[in-house]
Parts: sequence; C-alpha cells; structure tokens
Amino acid sequence: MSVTNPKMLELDRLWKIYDTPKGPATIVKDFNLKLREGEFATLIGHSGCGKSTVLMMVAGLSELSKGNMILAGKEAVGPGPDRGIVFQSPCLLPWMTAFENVMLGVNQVYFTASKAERVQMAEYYLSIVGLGDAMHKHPAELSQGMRQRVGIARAFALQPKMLLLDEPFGMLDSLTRYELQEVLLELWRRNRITTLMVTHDVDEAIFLSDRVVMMTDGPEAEVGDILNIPFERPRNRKEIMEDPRYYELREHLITFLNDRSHIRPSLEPEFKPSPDMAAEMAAHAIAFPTAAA
Amino acid sequence: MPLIEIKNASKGFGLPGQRTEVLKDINLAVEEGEFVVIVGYSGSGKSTLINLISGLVTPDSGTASISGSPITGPGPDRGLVFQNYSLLPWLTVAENIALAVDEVFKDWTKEQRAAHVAKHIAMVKLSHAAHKLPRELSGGMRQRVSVARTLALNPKVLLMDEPLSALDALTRATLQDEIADIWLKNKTTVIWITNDPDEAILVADRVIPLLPTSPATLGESIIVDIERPRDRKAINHDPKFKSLRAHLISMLLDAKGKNKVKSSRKLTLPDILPEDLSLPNSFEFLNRRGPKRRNETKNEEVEVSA
Repeated sequence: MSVTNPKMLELDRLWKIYDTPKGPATIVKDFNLKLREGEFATLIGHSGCGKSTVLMMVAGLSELSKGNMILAGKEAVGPGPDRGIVFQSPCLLPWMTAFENVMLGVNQVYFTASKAERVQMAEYYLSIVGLGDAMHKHPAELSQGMRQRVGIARAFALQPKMLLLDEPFGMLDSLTRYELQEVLLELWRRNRITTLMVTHDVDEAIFLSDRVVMMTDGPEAEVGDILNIPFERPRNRKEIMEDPRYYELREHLITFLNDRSHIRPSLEPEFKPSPDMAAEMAAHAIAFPTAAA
Repeated sequence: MPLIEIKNASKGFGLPGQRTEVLKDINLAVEEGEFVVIVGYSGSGKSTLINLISGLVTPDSGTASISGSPITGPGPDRGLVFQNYSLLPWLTVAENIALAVDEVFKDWTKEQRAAHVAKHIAMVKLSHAAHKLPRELSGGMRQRVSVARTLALNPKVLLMDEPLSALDALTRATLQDEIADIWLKNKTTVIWITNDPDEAILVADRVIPLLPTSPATLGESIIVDIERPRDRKAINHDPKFKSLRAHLISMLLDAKGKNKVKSSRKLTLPDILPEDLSLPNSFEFLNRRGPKRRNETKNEEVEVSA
C-alpha cells in the first residue's frame, strides 16, 4: 500500500457565478474543502443550495468561476475517467445490457488489457453489486434499484481516483435505499476510493461518511459547518442505530438543517465554528474574526 | 369485534405451474378508530394486501370481513386513496368530489350535498382552488383532493395505498401532518400502506411490518405510544421514537437478509490499472506490453455471495 495522500482533493475558494439578465448571480461562494485519500465525505444541505453545483464543478462538468481545484496534486480541468460519477438516475444506455453498459467504460480505460481481463473486471463488479444473475438483462428489465446498482458498478469498475455521487439513492424508497447503501459500503470496503457524495438524507450521511459538510442555504452558499463521524468501519447499521452518539450526530445535522442553515459564517462577525469546522478552516488558513480576537 | 378482520388469508397470481404466491397466512384485526400503518418493501405485496380489504382482490383461501360480514367487492364503506391521485382531469376539484358524493348520498338534497363537498374541500385547505382543474394543481394539492373525496364518502375505514410516495420530502411532511390532524378530529379508522419507516412511526397508533419472505407475511405489531399531536422536530429527541425506529428498521432488514438466497461464486479480479491519458507522459503505454499493473498482487480470486 502506498502512503495515503492527505490532500487527494483540494477545493480552494471555489466560486460559481452565473450571468443573468439581472446581473451576476452567485450560487456558490468561497467554498473550501480538502479531502484526504480514502475519505468518504458528504455534502448536505437543502434543495437548491448549490451542493450539486459543487459536485459538478469537481466532476469537471461545470466550470469554476473562481478558485482552484487540485486532484491528486494536479489541476483538474474538464471531466475525465479519473472521476467516476453516479447520478440520481442511473443514465444507462437502454439498448445495451447491464454488462455492456459497464464494458463501455471498461474498454475505454483498460484498452491495454486483454479482452478476457476486461470482461473479468465487469463481471467482478456486477457480481459484487448483486447482479451476478441479471448482468445480461437490459435496463428496461431491471427495477430502479437494480439499475442504480449497475450505475454504481460502472463507476467502481473504472477504479477512478475519486468517486462523485449525486444523490445516488434519491429516487429509491427508503428500504431499497438501505440495501443500496450496504452495497455501496461493501464495494467501498474493498476499494477505498476517495468519495464526495451529495445527499439531503441525514441518516444516509451519517451511515456512509467519515465527514459531513453542511452547506448554508443558497444563493451564495458556503460551508456552514463540518461534522466528523467517529464510527469505526466496517459499519453495521443496527449497531450504529443503537449507539447513543448516532442520535447526537443526527440531532446536530437536523438542527443545522432546520435552524442554522441560513447563517453564513463569512457574514457573521460572532460566528463560532465547531471544532471539526475550525480544523478544516485552519487547513485553508481562513481566520475568523473571533478566533483572531 | 374488530372493524376489519383478515383471517389466514393467502393470495397468489398466475396460472398453475408459473404461479407466484404473494401473501400467506395473513392475520389482521383493526379496531374501530385505529390508525394502522403497514410498512414493507416495494414489490412485497403491500398493495395486494390493501386490495383484499378494499375488495378489489379476493383471497385464495381465508377470509376478509368488515364489521363481521365478508368483503365481496369494493364499496363506499371503504374509501381508497391511491398513490396516483386518480382524479378525472376534465372535472374541477369540487366536481371531482361532488361526483362521489352525489353517487353515495342520493337521498340528500342538492344543498346538503354541496355543503358536504365544500366542508371537505375546506378540511384539506383547498377552498381557494375549488374550481381549478387537476392539471392546474401541484402533486400535493391533487393528493389533498383525493383524500377529501375519499373522506367525503364518510367511509368506515380509509385505505391509503402509498398516498405520499410520489411527493417530494417537504410536501410529504406537510401532508403527513395534515392527515394526522384530520384523523385526530374525526377518528376515522385508517389503514395506511407505506415503504417509509419514519412516516409509519410518525402517523400510526400501530405499525405492522410486512416481511419480505416469499410469500410475504405480517410481522409482529409495534405499538406507537407517542402522544399526539406529534411534532416532527421534537420527535427526533424522543427516546421512544428512537427505539421504535431502530426496532422497526432492524426487523425489516433482518427479514430481508434471511430471505436472501445464499449462493457464492468464484470471481477473478484482474490486476489491471486504468490508463490515464491526461498525464503529460500519456503515451508511455506505447513502450510497454499489456496494461499497467499493481505488481503487488496477482489476479485476485474472490468469493462473492449474492
């Protein structure tokens, strides 16, 4: 194992500004975040707060208006196979089977490998997500949950440097969602790809991630708070739900979303960051008025 | 005597030889005025179960009865709310509700029926939209119309088949609260089907999990003895809510886990790495044979159980 990179992804003072007929509209303002290699981080916030915009900027699908983005020590421009994306709807090609959909990407990034190895790669990931028997079916023959499994397998099979998940389970009912969270964790246990996920489900954020980044309401959204999730891995949902810390963390996130998401740290002279947030801000050399005083 | 009673009912579909058994040994007794929620996975037979009560489906064996008499078909004593609203698109809100009211209360005067319609529109807070067509309403408002239409029949029991599943989280929350409020006022018996454990605990007196064995069976009832009206914010702090929620979710997850066919297969994870063509020295693959490899491991043999 190589030494883990403490700065796999660096988002430094990211801004997203759209030009509108009424003048420029700032969607995301001064967004800072560093992810270490193998970290699972979640962006949480209300609908329309700009979490997906941040994710799409990391994916290279949306241009940065200002700021820098460094992925594994190199400035990342535009989309590429080094960042695997799972969207809310699985976006599979309907005329191809699940297997062919995965092979499409696999053939691109492993073009120097033999055909047999590429096939093994696709079969391996499709089997782990539970589609061992259904991999030669077309998307129309699969349920919504199974389609999303294909999407997850497709992203992991490319062994990207980063995995970007945009509300991957948002369209599923809560029980199917639990199942797919387990599938995702199982894959992630085998290959700890640095992950950034967007969600508005508090329980999902706690169960899956190492760190939850809370975003303030948009427009001009920024990081409002950060919370470290201390549970050890591999995680067991039942044990976590019985852990008293689970409810404290849940409380913290719910309180933020209900009562504090309108507070913008950069506009509040009295803002006191939580310890987890203070640590992140210090890493970016951002001083708060209170910290200086 | 319970209002709704199902005894040893089972139901399957399909021709002999290719039959799927959906429900087995269903025993359910719902008392008058009770608010019961049945939670289960999609495709586990929840709708079949509620259709046994509504009379749209008859059991293969066992019985379903209302107030002691067997259920033979649908009737206005059991009001049904569907996930997809089922409103007539060419009729306004008031007309949609009037259609049902005029049919059921034929012996009332015109004025009585109109007042009854207006009262139920007001109950779901749609008086301002009474003369709008369904297409001019949002999903949440359409479902309100559907609830009002059903309640206007004065049914003995309100059957709701995933009433809020098609709505976004915020509208869903509002409607959960509103329906719980309406229930508090008129105490109609409710049987509500959902796939959301949180929703179940928030609105119900009693939650019954539909366990995804094949065929599915009902699990043990969970009594929700949290005081009403329930505040969705405050309930998160309630230790009772926490333990009920954990219990219900683990019951459903355990049943799913047990039901999984355990088969394992040997797979090979090939030791190949992706080619990165964005690097400055991208064309180094021309100087080597075969793919980049980790070099640490050979192809890995992995057992996967699915």
